[in-house]
Amino acid sequence: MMSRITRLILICTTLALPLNAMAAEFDLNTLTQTLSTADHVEGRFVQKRYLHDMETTLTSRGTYQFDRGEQVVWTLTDPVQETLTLDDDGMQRNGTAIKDSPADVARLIMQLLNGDFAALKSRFDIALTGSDADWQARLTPNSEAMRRYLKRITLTGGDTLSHLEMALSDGDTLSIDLTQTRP
Amino acid sequence: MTPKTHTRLAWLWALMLLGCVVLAGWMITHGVRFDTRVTALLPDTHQSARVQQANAQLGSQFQDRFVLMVKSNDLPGSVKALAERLEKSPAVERLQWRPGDFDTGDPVALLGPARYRLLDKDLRKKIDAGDYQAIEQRALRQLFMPDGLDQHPIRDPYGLLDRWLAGTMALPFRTDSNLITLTHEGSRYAVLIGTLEGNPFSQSTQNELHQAVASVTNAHPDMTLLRSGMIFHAYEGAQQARQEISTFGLGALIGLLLILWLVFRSPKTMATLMVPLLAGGLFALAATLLVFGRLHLLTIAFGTSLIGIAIDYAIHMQCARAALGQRFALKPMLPGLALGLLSSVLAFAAQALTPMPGLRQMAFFAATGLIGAWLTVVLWLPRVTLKATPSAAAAADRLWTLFCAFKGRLTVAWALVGVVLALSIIGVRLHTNDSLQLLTTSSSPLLKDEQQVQSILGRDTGSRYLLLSAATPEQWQARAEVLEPLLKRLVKNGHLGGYELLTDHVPSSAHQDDNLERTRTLYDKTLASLYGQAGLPSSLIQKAQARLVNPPHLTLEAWLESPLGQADRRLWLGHSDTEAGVAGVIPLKGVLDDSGLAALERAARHAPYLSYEDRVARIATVLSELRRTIAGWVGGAFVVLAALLALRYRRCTWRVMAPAAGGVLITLAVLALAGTPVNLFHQLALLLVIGLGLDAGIFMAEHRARHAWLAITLSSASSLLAFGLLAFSATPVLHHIGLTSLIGLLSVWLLVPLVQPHTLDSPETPH
Repeated sequence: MMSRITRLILICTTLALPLNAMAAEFDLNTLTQTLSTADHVEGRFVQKRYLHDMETTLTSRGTYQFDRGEQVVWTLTDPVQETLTLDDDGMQRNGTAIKDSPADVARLIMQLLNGDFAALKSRFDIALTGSDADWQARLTPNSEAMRRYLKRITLTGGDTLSHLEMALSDGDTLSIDLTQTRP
Repeated sequence: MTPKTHTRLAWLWALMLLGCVVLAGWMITHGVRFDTRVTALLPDTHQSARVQQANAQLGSQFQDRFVLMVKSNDLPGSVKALAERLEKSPAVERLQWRPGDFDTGDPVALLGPARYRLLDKDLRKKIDAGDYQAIEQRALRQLFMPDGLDQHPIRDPYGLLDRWLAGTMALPFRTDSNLITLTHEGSRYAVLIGTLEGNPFSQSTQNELHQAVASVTNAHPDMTLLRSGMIFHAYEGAQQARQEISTFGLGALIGLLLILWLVFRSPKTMATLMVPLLAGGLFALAATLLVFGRLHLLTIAFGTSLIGIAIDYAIHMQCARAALGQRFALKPMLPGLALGLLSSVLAFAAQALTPMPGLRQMAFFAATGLIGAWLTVVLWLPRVTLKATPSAAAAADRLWTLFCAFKGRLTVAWALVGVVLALSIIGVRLHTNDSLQLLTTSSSPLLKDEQQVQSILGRDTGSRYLLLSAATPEQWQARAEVLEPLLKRLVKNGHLGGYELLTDHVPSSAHQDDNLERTRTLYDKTLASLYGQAGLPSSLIQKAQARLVNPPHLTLEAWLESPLGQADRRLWLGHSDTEAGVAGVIPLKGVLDDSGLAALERAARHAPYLSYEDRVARIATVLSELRRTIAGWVGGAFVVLAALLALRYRRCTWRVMAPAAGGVLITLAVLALAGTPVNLFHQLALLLVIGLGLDAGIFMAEHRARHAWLAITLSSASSLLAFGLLAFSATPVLHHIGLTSLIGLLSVWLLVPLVQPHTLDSPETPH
């Protein structure tokens, strides 16, 4: 139940990987292969939460770090401070563990960390378009439970993931621009 | 009786048996109820419908479901193989092993409207303490980066819904690699929860599940499994019992056939010994179904073995015919046979007068079975031609020598000394034990698995709980909340492991009203500042506060109907047909020590709407009551019987009663000396000893002949083979029955010659 949206965001940031190793024929398999060779990535993000019924946008900024297969750290720095961590021991908010429930989607994170696109496919319909230099992936949830709050996730990138947009079912959106600073 | 009358009666009996076949067949195919509940043996007033309902509802989790915890080097691979195999098995109706297998419904739709009335403990404490800063900081973060369901600046600026879910519904599981896993003492386990398609006691369900699990564990040797659920225990128990019954059963059958062959040398004669047993069983089945309309499985189990006493009549009749040849006549046989029947039927019929419905049925079944078998012996057996059997006469002669060696060694005085000695040993040393644990057949690895799974998952067998009733659901919730501080204190002080309280998920409406007040305070104190920091227009504050004006309550009904509240349905009994008001249960988990129990019982004494129930203890009480009642009534029947037999046997009555009474006393004294506590099953076997002992005493007194001693020996030998061998069984119930029969029947057989008068000699020659 907890933190579904955050988790989805974290999942998506794990795609902020060097994608330059992609083969000419761009498909999920090559993407999976690329993911499984990645290691440490870090950068900055700008996150915009658009509230449809209030016609308001809440903007925040922060940094991210990704160590493949080990840890994702997502840090909000402005206007509030918060650090979310995901590793083998689960999720933590500012160092305090957050518990899972069986219905959760946290496993999606691990599937991604493991480069397990096959498993991700069991929860999303994934449509990949473009080339390795300029690609777009649309993830549509295929389960009733997730569709209740999430319409789709759109990922855009070239060498790396540069933009992520989540369209929620109530009309709100959450969009994140990523700028990689390392490596 | 003229031969013509005898023929008519024989035909009439055949017709009646035919009627029995039709009747029993019709009733069984038209949905006769077979009862397996031990509690069904209790008088109706002992157990309210509520308790029965609670037991069924709480027990089903343990009975109809099973849990497997898997540890493996390749967890996803092993679990997938296991799950796929189990999902294919016809024994499994449903398997939940992936996070997606758990339907949580739509928590926002269910709890969203009432969320302002649902505050988790931590939040309540902070508001009461006026500690708003941490709440505000967290709310602000969530506005920019929502990390839960429906965290909206107007609908839920403080993430109340998410806090409530995290506070009340948190589970120890993780959901990585598309599995449900948890870490315990450094090991990572995957959890699989299965719902059985059939009954856990059904042999085919047991075998199917066992094969499915075994085939996967064999293919994945590095996989370790922890098992929990009734079906695994039932499988082990049944497996052991089946194996032993087939081993012992085969041994007994071969032994029995061998002995009977040595004596009679005729398959036809041997068959005639079995016919009365079959006819008796059939008659008993039809009569019991007709009178009671239903059948308890214990009735069949014990009733059938008690009908085994009837082999006495057949053996007695055929021994006399084989030994006497042409000189055989039915008439001299009748008094002995009739008294034998009368004594056994009286011993059983006494129990039919007890207030225990199960016992009444068992007694009725055994008594009608004996009558049926007896009629078969008297009406049919003399009509079957029997060749003269020199081997029978020879066996009778050899046994008679043995008889004469023991004959009359026990005088009245020595018998009395023996009785006093046995009684004092029994009085000083005999203990009873009616605990159900005596009957456990599960191996220690399985018991360890069960314990581990239960402690890791907080799963319980639903055997100990508080039953709480009230006029309305609202009152029930209020009463449960009054009880909570006591339960909390017991847990805190280590007197109680834990408990499951429905009001943790659905507080009473008074409690929900209190929470709403707190939420209003929170909004009043901090919402303006929160919106200011987030840069949201203050015009929206009113919109957010408008939601607090009159939000709906979360009702018990809505919660229990939702997928999220599904697990709590077992805690709610609701309205019943027989009692006014509603009721629910509070299961108790883990340890419950004496002072915890005393505190709960004290609370229950002060509140008429509250009671403490312990299913296991209750079953032990049932067994104990059954045991006492049987003992009392059999003792009484014995006295009445002695008086009746004294009319015919006068001063020799003690010789008639001694084998049965002595058999019982010796058995109990031996058990006492060995320090074996006596339970219901020992005592049921003693009934067999009494039945055979009385027959032996009566036949000997009636005939004082070689063929009578031959018959007594054969019948003792056959019963010893059938029941005494079970003494070597590792299944506790079978062992208890076997040990008692072994000691008791041997004593009876030895006592028969020992108590005969010295002067007795065989007036008849075998030829």
